[in-house]
Amino acid sequence: MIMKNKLEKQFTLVWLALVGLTFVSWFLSEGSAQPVLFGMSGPNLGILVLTISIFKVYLIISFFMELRTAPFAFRFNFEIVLFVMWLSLIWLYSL
Amino acid sequence: MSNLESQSNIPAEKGVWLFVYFDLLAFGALFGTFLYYRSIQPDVFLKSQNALDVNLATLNTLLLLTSSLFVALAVNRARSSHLEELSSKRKIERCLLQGAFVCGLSFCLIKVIEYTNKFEEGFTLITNDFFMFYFVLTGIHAFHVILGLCLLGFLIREVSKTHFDSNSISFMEGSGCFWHLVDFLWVILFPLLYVLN
Repeated sequence: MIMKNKLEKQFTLVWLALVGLTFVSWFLSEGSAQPVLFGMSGPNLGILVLTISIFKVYLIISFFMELRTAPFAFRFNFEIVLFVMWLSLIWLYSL
Repeated sequence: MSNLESQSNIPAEKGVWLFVYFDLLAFGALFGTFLYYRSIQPDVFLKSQNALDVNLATLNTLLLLTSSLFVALAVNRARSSHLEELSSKRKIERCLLQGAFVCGLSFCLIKVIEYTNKFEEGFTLITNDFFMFYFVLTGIHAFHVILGLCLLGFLIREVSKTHFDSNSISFMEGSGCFWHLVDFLWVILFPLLYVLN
């Protein structure tokens, strides 16, 4: 029962983090005129937005899909794909 | 599978994970292709992007994230009830899955509204490369959402049954994984199509 509550609390905290990051992305959208965050603007914000989205995917896979409890080799396969995807998207965005 | 067992094991069948893995690779290639074309025609893509409603897309993101939370909680609860309340009806799990289903259905309705608005404004698949990607990517994703909704509907029926064994839990974990896949694909689509400036 304790484990169940602990996991539920963890899921809820992850969800709150995901919602918070979604609002950050929304704030950085073109809709918010000339957004600036921590002194960053323009293409740097694009890179930040892509990084946020890949981090959100990492949170979903690790916690909601419970990949964090999987054996290292299994987990590594997904993490390396996410890492390569993150690098590729940033590179293609910067072209 | 108990909570303790789940600490060292992979939830769901490995085949489900294989599907998730290759779907992620396939979508990764599509996302990359989108950004490549975006680099060739930046003005067209930016101008077209401004025609999209980022507020509706943000609402859709929140709906899918919430539905994912409901599914994760339901799977976790079902594991416990499978061990502790063998013959009871899993009311909380059913409510959580119904919540996830409603969120998924709302996502589809908002997508229909968005598509209708775009068609009325004269944007179609052949308007330009941005809208070609927009309709194809969101269309493939919407197909995943509909498939996920069918699985959730089946799960709601499954958790209402008295007989709920380890196979049911495994099926629930697999369907849950698929629903989380639907969620995280949208999490990447959202900034690509609506946010990047």
